[in-house]
Amino acid sequence: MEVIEKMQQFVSKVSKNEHETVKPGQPVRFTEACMPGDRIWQGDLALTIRTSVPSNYNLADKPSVQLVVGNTEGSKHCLDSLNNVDIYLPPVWNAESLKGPVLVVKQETTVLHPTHGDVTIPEGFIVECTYQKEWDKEQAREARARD
Amino acid sequence: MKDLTQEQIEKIPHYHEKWIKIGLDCGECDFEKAKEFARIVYEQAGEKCPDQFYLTDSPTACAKLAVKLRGIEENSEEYSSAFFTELNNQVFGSHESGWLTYYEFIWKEMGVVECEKLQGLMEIAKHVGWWAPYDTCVIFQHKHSEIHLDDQMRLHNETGPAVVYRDGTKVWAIGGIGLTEQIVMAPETLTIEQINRENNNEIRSVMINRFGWARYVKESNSTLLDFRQNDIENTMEALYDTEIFGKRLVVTCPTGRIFVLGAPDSVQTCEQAQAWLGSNEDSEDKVNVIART
Repeated sequence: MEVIEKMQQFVSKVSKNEHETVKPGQPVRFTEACMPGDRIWQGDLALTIRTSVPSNYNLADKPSVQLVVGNTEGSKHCLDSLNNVDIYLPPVWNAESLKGPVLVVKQETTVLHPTHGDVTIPEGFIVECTYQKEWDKEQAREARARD
Repeated sequence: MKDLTQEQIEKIPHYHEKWIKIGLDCGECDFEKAKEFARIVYEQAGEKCPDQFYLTDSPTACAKLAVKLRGIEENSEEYSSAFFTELNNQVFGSHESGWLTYYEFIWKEMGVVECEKLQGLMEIAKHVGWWAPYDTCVIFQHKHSEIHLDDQMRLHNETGPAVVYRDGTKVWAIGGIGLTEQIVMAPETLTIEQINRENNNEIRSVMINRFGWARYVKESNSTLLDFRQNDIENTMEALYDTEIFGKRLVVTCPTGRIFVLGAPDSVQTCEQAQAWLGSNEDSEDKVNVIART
């Protein structure tokens, strides 16, 4: 069987909830044993354990629960509450950014999403949000820089 | 003058909103006002305004009328070239709002009096769609009757035309890129040959996204470089080398979808492609992906 067909068969099973182990929207959790550098992908949002907040980040004046800029359903990666976390923002944070907020988790917090599974972060962790790179956008960015 | 005053800065949103409203307005042409302000435009340009005025529904209708007024028959050899010449001769009326807002601001708020010469164009933009000023006549158009934009204010409609005129003329666009009806409404009917033949990179990219990357790599006989079952991320991944679009990582998502992601030419394996896609941090901590959901 061709690779693409194999993959199509795989996603067909997953989307019909017929796959034995892969279930859409399965929640995951960083365990207390996680180490700096450990990463969970929630769609194209990477949540990575860090040792500290980067020095050029600032505590958000008006923090938002949403961790990805945008109005689409895909960008609704949202904290369950603002009460349990301090949010630090990079100097620039917009739809083109590859780096997002850094979360200092004071009490267990969950990142929710309408399609992907929820990701729970235990108390005491520092978690950096970064975004998946896009080759076509990177090329466009390079082309703009050249122009 | 080096800087805007606070008062001037605070007025920018007013001009911005006003001219966006003008640019998006779907109203009919006010023929009398159009004539009145066309005379001012001619006067400000130092030209004599003709007495003959026409009103049409769309840029294509305007161009057809202009060609007809030149006495060129529809079946003649020169028709096509004349039609496109007349289409390109048009002035954008309400669609000039993007730059008129700037000049109205620097005229009225910053006292740059030279901009007063644009008053006629500013006024006519409020009442007319595109229009065509000639020595012997003026052809006005109604504004578009429908317009669709994305959140970045670019022409955009994935399920129909982005712009519609009163005579049924349609403009097809996604993300501000002008397309054909086939690409928007029936992308599944595109062929590999059509996609590969398209010279405009932006159009080709939209074509292939709508056609489906998975189908493209399959039907275009792209070369499979690597395949793996990633049990940590619960994904299946295949790295292809496509003739036209370079390296593409086809990857399943635990939500039950397939994504196709571009990768640099240097990557040779799925693992390298995934590492590149996630590599945007400054930290020295070695990244260790433990799950994907």
